[in-house]
Formats: sequence, structure tokens, C-alpha cells
Amino acid sequence: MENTESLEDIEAEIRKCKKCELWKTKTNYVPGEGNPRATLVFIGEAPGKEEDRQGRPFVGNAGKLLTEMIEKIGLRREDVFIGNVLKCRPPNNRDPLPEEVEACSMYLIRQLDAIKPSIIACLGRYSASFLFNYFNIEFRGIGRERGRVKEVERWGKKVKLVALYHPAAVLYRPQLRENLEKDFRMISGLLAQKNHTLFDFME
Amino acid sequence: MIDVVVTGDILKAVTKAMVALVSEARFHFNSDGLRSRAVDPANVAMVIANVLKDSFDVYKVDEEKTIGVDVNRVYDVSKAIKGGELVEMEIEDETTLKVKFGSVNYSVALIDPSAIRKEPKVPNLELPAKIVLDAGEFKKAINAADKISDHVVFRSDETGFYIEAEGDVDRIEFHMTEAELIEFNKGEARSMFSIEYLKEFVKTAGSGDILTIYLGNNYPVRLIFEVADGKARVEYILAPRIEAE
Repeated sequence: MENTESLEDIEAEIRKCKKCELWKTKTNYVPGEGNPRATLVFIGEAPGKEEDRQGRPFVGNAGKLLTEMIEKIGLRREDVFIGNVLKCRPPNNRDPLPEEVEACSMYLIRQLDAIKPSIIACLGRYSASFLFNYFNIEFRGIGRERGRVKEVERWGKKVKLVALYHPAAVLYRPQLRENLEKDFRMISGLLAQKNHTLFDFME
Repeated sequence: MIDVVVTGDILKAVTKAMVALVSEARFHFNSDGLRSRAVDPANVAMVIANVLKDSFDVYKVDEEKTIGVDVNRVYDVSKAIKGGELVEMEIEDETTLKVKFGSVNYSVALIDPSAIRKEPKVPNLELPAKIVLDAGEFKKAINAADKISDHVVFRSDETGFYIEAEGDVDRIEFHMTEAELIEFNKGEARSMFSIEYLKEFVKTAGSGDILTIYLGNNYPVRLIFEVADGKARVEYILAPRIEAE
């Protein structure tokens, strides 16, 4: 069925949401932001303190790193869509509860259906675990899956799904930065299609 | 059981070569030595690393064996090993790789090789130009080109080998004549490549290492680095850029 829902419609609904208890403790809803026709989307776990304060995704220190990485591959934040599985901050940044994920995640799915991206980059294990599961792909942990491209048939095309370390994890463990940079380079390769592939030269 | 001893520079060279493209790789040990091959997730580049049995100080491999290695982790650890220091690598069972150097005993879980992306076929390439040069010179050229562009042209004709990059307001040309090259067949060829890959590849090489380039026309390039005093061979195959019409 052709999806006609717009990101604004979904956002308006999110801003009235009371499907779980998190609306009571949040300062702002954080629906996500960016290009409604983005080829590339980044999906994190849930808003943090600064995101909750500003109502925008990835605007704290981890967000600065994400923005730096996006710019490093020649894009701007406005070129991509950035969102989270949860649209409200869990108190004290605790892990999301299963009932919160269940209540909230359909917003993300509807957002993806509206955007129809070609590449979904999952930031961190929570987002990756949720999205891999949603697309019926086995998730074996972020350390095993990061940087590996999975392909799913969606929206009448092949969509690439890739798990990355969460930028906050990289800030906490700087030795992971090299991996994150490598994975962004890989995304850049997937995105730009600037290169032939070796398969073009195999008989 | 596998029990091999090798100098630190070889372990570093092989793992560094692999991490330029992948984080996990299959290592094959057989009667000839160690080899590993992997392609990057975008299928643009391939790496093939080989260390012949004679380059090991000790090489005890009971039977041909393939293991799955988290090359990122092993490379990180290998950074602490001095170049000439001996490293013992031991695999007793299917689960653990032990790396011993000095007083350090490092062990890391092996990865099920079947869980690692299937190894690619090596494309059969007929490439007219052969250029042999000091890898350090090549590294300088790529790192300089990286400052002004995201792509370079490799060009070869009877006047020599060229690496060219153009920025918005500047241009770099690297040119070596036949006399300056170690070996050169004057083959005519021209292809364009992404610097983002090349600059990772050149990290493998140091000054004094030998690099052999096989170049074609809008075709993949083969870059063969002889590293760790020629005791390890690292080959990259890189697909060309799609040139704008």
C-alpha cells in the first residue's frame, strides 16, 4: 500500500503522545529532524539530557561527534534524517523499558515508511537490535554486527541496514573512533556510488 | 594445533593491511604459510595478505586450518609490540587465539569463520602498465593529493608514471620518469581512484618498502606492497571511480 503520511503528520501525533509514562517526565518530545526524502537516516536509542532540553535529536556531545562524522563524508545534517527509537527521554538516561519501546517504536517505523531511505544507520546496540529484529535479521551484538551491511527489500527497493557504534560510546571509549570513521567511510561509499565495484570487472 | 613465531613487524603489517578494509577476516594457515583475503562492505576494494612459511621463525601447523580473527583487536594489541620482537601465536582449540610477546600473554576469542563475510573471488585483470617504485614516495603523493581532492588519476605512458589531483584552485602532479622508477614497462594506461581508499592503503607502507602497481584503462588497479623487509606481501585491488560524463 502506498504510504501517504507525511513526517509532519507523524510529528504532530508524537507531540500529543501519552502512550507510555515517559511523557510525564520529559521536557520536550524529540520526534527527529532532517530531510523528509533523505537517502540516509541515522537512528539512535532515545533522547539524552540536552536533546530533551532542546527538543532536537543528537545535539549534545555525542551529537557533535555525529555531526562531525556526517560532515566528514561531505554531507550536512540537513541532508540526512536523524531520529531515535524513543521520542522521549527516559529519566536519568536509563535503558528504555520493553513497554516503552513497544509503545513508541511504531512512530519510527511510520517515519521510515514516510522517508523511504536507502540506507538506515543504526547508532548503538539498542537501535540496531530493534531495527534488525523489525527487519527479521538476526542481531548478534553491536561488536559483531557493526560495519556489516545487511540488505532488505523494502519500499520497492533494496535497503541497506548497517549498525554503528553509538557516538556516545565512542566518546567514552576513544579507541572505537577509528571504527566509527571506517564505518562512515563505508557508508560514504554506499551512498555516493562514486566507485565501480569489483563485481563490475568479474566475469 | 597451530603454533607459530613471527616478528612483530610482520603481525603488525598483516593486521594493519586487513583493518584498512574490514574488522574481521579469515586467516588460512597451510603448508605454504599464512594468507588472508577480504573485500570491503561496499565491494570497491579487496585486500590479500600473504606471509610465506619461510618468513616465520617457527611454523608448526599440524594440518591446514582456517580461523576467524577480529583483526581490529589483534592490530590494536600488535601496536604494543616492537618491530623486531618475536611474537608467538598459538591456537590449541577452535575458540581462542593466544598471542605472546615479552611477558605479555594476550588471548582473544576466535570468530566462527562461517560468520565472516564470504571471501571474494579475485578478479582476473589484464593490466598493461607495470610500475615499481618506493612505497614511501607513493605515500607522499597520496597524502599530498588528499589535501586538495577526493580523487586522483593514475596515468602511465612512455614519459613515466603520473599521479594527478585537482582541487578548486590548485593542482598536484607527481611524476616519476623511467630513470627514477625501480622498474617500468612504459605501458599506456589511465584510471581514476578515490583517495579515501588509497590513503588507508598507504598506511601499510613505509619508506624503503617496494610497491608494484599494475594499471589499466578505467579498470581496477593492483597495488602490491612488500612490507616488513619483504617478509610479507600485501595486495590491494581497487575499483576505479566512475568518471563524470
